[in-house]
Amino acid sequence: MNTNNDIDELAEKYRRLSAPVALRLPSPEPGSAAKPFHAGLIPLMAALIAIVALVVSMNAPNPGERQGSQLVAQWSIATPESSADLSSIRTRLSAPVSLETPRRPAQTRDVINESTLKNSSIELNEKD
Amino acid sequence: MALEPDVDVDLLRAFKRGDGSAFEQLAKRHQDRIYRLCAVWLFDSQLAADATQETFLRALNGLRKFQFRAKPATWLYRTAQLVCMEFNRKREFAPLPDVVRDETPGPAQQHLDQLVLDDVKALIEQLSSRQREVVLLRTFEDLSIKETASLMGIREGTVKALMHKATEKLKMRMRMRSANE
Repeated sequence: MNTNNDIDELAEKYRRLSAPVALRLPSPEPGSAAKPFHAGLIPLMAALIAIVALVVSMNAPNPGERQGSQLVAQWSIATPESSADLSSIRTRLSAPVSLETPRRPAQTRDVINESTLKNSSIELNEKD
Repeated sequence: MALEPDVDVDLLRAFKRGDGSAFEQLAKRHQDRIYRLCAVWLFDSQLAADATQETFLRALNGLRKFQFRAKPATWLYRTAQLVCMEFNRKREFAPLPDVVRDETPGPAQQHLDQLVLDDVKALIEQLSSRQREVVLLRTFEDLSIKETASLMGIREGTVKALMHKATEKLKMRMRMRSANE
């Protein structure tokens, strides 16, 4: 008996085996097919935008700071001369400061001395 | 009985676009092959029918995410293999009664199928699992060496080597059987 023929005969029998019943597959749900690439990208983009908005809001000044800066801006607009005043103060503050005490005028000192002397001599004379 | 992978790819693309009938065509093209492979892995015609059903149910969900990195037939083959392994594991804990159930195409046909499976089992039970797969795909399913290698995920040279060893073993076994008869 030819063994190759036996194998072939068995293989032929085997190939006649077929699935006994039709497959009971559920019908695919409408719209359950894979979505196109851009459809899947939309939720991703929305999530990305939300994250960016969150990060931006976290870095933004809080309402108190925002109000303060607005008040300063308003004050600056209302008093335009304030900047000039500030600059003059700054100039004065930055000027060199002299540590020497101012001298009194010499004449005044002399006058005082002479009058003092006169008074004192008068006093002496009167005592005499 | 070539796999005609382009047809499978076209059908699968249509299914992914929402064409349900494309999946039915894909299932019809492969259900007998998957059933036969399951039958040999499970050695039970009714259990093989259940495994085939389960394979295509998984395919219905799994193939929606198919990325075309492999051939659809390879994916189905691998899924069927996994399903049969699971069925065999379950069977170890809860042995199923070896009865013929009254379902189409009829108990008589199922009995004949079982006889064929018993014959196949008697023929290839001496082979290793890889040699058995090569014989099933190459000799029984009549696939080319390239297709067999693709389905098994091995090189063509490995298929040839496994086929050579398996054939030698099969011939020896057939000679022994003839001598006993």
